[in-house]
Amino acid sequence: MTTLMEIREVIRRIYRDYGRYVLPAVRFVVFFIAASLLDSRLGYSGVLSSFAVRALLALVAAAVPTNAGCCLLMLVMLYDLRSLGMVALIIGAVVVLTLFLLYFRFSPETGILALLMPISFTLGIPYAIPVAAGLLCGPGGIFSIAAGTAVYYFLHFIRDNEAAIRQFGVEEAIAGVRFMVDGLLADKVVIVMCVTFALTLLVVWGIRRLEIAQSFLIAAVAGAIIQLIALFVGNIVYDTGVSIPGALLGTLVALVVALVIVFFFYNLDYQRTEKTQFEDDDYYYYVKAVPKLSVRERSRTVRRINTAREPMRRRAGARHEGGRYADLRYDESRYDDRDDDARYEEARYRDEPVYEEADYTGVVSYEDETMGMTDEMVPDTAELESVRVPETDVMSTQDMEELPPESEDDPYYGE
Amino acid sequence: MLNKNKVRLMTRLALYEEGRGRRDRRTDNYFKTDYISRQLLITFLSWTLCFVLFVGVYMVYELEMLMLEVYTLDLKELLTPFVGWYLAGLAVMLLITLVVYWRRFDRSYKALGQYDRALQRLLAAYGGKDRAHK
Repeated sequence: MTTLMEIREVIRRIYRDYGRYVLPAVRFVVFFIAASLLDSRLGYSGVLSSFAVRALLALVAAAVPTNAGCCLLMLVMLYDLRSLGMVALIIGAVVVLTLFLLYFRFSPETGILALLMPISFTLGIPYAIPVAAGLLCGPGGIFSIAAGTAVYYFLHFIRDNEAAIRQFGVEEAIAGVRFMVDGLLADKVVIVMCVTFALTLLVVWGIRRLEIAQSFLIAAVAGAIIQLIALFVGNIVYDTGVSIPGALLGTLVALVVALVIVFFFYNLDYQRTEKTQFEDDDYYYYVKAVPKLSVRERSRTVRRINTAREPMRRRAGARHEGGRYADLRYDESRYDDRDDDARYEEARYRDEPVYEEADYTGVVSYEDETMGMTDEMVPDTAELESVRVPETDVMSTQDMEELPPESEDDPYYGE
Repeated sequence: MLNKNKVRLMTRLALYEEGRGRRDRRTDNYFKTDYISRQLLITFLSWTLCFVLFVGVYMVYELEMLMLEVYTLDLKELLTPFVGWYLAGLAVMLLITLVVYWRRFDRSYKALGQYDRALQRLLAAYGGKDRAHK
């Protein structure tokens, strides 16, 4: 397990460092596979038969937003259908226009699912996508999955009835339209598949949001079971002819994919769950925090014991704030864990000049806890005195004039 | 000297501006009601167009029957199911539009608020409004 976690950390680091190249590359590959699929399913015009054209198309599609890339592929599909005949073009145009008007109009963020669906159908693993989408996206993914499924079965129908469709010329256009509409509507498998996938996604999504331990794994398993049941029922009622061994195998693949996703995204340590309650003026909060499992990547550590000393600049401020007159060895500002913004805000409020954090590398005493330094290694006071910056360096005279008069409320007044 | 927090803040701001920020700012041009009603109108038009397409395909499909019985057809009986389907589909589409764009508007409103606050923090890091003017 630890080895796996380390591998995960390495992959995460690579993604973090090279994400800007990885993501476009993945998009390119997906679009390229989709274009190849289109060529193998249709390919009547031969426009996509050359590798270079497919690569160029994928490049353009990867550069524009996903939904625009999908639209581009649709247009290529229409061009291909034109070579098959007028009837195919008309029905194809109706399908594409319907998708444009009803699906792409919402330009969903899950558009990539519409592309992955036909690809996974071709690879024989369509059952993995709804489970994965339920884990990673929301219910909005249903529309993308339905669109992808519809396009796949449309291409499937065209390919199966290629010879018949080719026969219909312009004179027999009406008969051709009747043939295609009958064929497309008679195929109940599209509806069964869409309903099954929607159900699966909703179940996975619903369960993974429940506040129970291992909700992600339970969601994936439950989704897979629901998916199988829905496929069986659909098969019995509508005689869809979905292969049952294939469905079983596909569900197993879906579970493996789900395991990988859970491992990468929701690897939680339920043993260390913490619960806390607190309130503010308007609400009472019941918080349950489950830490993520993680290991540190093995790395070489470089210890710097002593580096070149740089002139030290102290922040202006009172002694108890670690200001200029504070004792260096007990400088609390070293342990100040506020971020720079907060310091800026405070300094602004006090109308004091703000300086960047000094580089304290020359003063080793502050690293006691982490570097195993002893008191002997701390430079003595005389040395510390010598590195103090002359006052004029820290504050210009003009700034001095702007300082408000010291107040007696200050506990260190007069010191 | 580089201020890491400032750089981090500016990077995040720039990323937002280039990505979702563009869409959010377009959304911000409208009041919520205007924005949603505009989207509802577009949905109405696209569903209508879509339905016309379906009806067109149906008419081609049933062309022979329509040609033969064009004089004896009971137009009311023929059109009633179409109107029913049209209205039902319209209701579903409008509902989906309402949910999708309602949430989208809320999200961009929130994101723009965060963006605004981050900008103010950045301004403070540069010495605040007053100092910037000096």
